[in-house]
Parts: sequence; structure tokens; C-alpha cells
Amino acid sequence: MVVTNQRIVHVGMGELTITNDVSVVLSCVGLGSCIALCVYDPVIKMGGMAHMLLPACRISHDVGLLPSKYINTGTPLLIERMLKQGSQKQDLIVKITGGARMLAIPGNSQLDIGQKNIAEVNAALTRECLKICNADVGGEFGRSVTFQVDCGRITVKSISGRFIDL
Amino acid sequence: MVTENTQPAFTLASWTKLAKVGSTNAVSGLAQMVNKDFTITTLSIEEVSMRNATNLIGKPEEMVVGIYLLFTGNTTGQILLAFHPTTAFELVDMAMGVDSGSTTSLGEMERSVLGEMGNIVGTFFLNGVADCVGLRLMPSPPAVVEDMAGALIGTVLAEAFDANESIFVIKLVFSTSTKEIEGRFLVLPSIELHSAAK
Repeated sequence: MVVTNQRIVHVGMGELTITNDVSVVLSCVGLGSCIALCVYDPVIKMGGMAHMLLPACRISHDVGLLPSKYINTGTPLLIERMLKQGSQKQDLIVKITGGARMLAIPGNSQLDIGQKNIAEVNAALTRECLKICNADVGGEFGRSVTFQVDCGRITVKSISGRFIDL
Repeated sequence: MVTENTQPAFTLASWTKLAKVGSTNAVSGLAQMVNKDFTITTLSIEEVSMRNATNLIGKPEEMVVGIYLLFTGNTTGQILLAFHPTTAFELVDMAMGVDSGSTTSLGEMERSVLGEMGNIVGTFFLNGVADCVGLRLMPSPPAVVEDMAGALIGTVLAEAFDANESIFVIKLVFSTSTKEIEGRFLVLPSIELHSAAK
């Protein structure tokens, strides 16, 4: 299928987007420790992407206007919204990227949010009874990811020129 | 880049005063390190929301060089200095006393020079602020990163945006007599330092 006039929709920090517009390419740019969760339904050609910053809300307040800031709330929210739009769970293809360790200061493990994010997204997807089909996570470098809704192709690139089809 | 100001005016005014004192100190420290006279050409305090944050230190996919420190003591926070790579190379040349254009990539020595630069700028900034608010503030060892601007700033800001929907950012542009050097100098204080600034 040839899709002309593709348009890029950026998914910013703490944002979540789902779409069944096959002309759309979802994009997260500059992923460091953040996780991009990409979920594709090839049956009805719907794509969802969440750009999540932290594993879980640590401060006892409402997650507020951006529950997708946190992996423990953003992951079920993305799945729930896709199901509401007609997806079936058994059809969903789940891929993740990000979770890098960008900063290393000796003796300071709090900077390894990337690893905590990776662990939490794995746990959150397990709670949703979903398996991760493919992942490009960790390392010490930033990534950008694009997700073509027409075909489900997900591409991850880094500033060094590393280029992966997930 | 200014978003709508949701903070009471007196908080922004208090931060402006602290930022001026700290930034003046910081640039003075940098000047001593590279043995050049610097002047501050632009100093602005901005409140930035998460939506706008990824562009804080450059376009998200642009390469930047960042020097990052935590600070601890009576309270905690983060400091990030960010430069375009060519600016970082220029600063290394100045610090090492070599001809402009000598540094073209960041090896171990160059990273060490930049780390020390971050350490000095951070220490001078914190000393200035600490004197104003009567707190003891100490920087961590620096981390030097060369990567996508968005990836670096997202990592630095992730925890800051857990507690706040917006943050204060100091933007500093400074120059020598012959050249303008643009750097982004970000300070992300903890809640306690916010309170002390009031």
C-alpha cells in the first residue's frame, strides 16, 4: 500500500497519541531515559505511542493532567484507549525503545532512571497480559523513533547513525 | 522561549535576584579558568512547561555537549551547562591556551577540561546563591555528555517534572571582547530552595 502525503505527529514528553490515520507517522524525538511505548493493531491499522518519563508517581498527589508521564499509569491508559477504539488485545503488537543511562556520576544510582523505566514498562505490560515483541533499550545514548501507522514499521535511530528497524 | 507565567511575581523576582548573583559569580569563575574577560550579554529567567522543555538546549535531535552536576547540602538540585559542540571546542581551546580551532572532537582530556569547567561554574554559582539564602550547597563530580539535546534534557528534567508542572530556567549568553559564546545554563532547584528564594 502506498501512502502519499505522510505527516509527522510528534509525541512529546508525557504525551500519548493513538490514531488510525494511515497517513500519520508518530514520532518521539530525543529519547534519553524516557521510554517510548509503541503499540500497533495491524487488523484495523491503528497505532499508539506514549512518551513516558518515570516509572511511577512518587508524590502522593493526583497524576493530574498527564497520567502518561508515568509508566505505571500511561501503559494501561494507552492500551485502554486502543481497546475503546476497537482494537482486540490479542491483535496488539507491542514494542519499546529508550531507557538509556545518559548521565553517570559515581555513587549516584538515582540517575539510572532508564533502567527503572525499562523494569516498570516490562512489569506494566505483564500486568496487561501483553508480551513485548521487540525492544531497543538501555545503553548510554539518545534515540529518536518513528512509527508508520500504515504498515506498523518502527524505526529507531541515534545521533551516531545507528539505525534499527524494530 | 517564555511560557505563560503561572508563578506569583514575587517568586520570579526573588529568583531573578538569585540568578543574577549566581550567574555573575559563575561567569567570573569561567573567566578565571580560561583567563579571558567575559561579560554577560543576556540573562533571562524563564518558566518552562514540560511541553516546551525539549527545545530548551537546542532542537531535540541536534547534538549538544552538556556538563551536568547535582548539588547537595542543605538542599538539592541539578545544574546543566549546554553548548553547541563548536562552542564547547572553543571553550576547551581557551582553557588549554591553544589556538582557536585546535579542538575538533572530545577525547578524554577535552572531557576532563569541560568537566572541570562545569565544576568551577557550578561551584561559583552555588557559592553566590548560598551566600544570599544562607544555605550550604555543594556540587557533585561533573558528567560530560555529547548527544541529542532532547535526550539529555529529557533525562535531566524527568524527576524535576515529577514534582512540578513547570520549572525555572536561567538562560545565559556571555561573550569575550572578540566573540559571543552562547551557552544554556539551567538550574533546577528542589522545593526547599524554591522556598528559600521567596
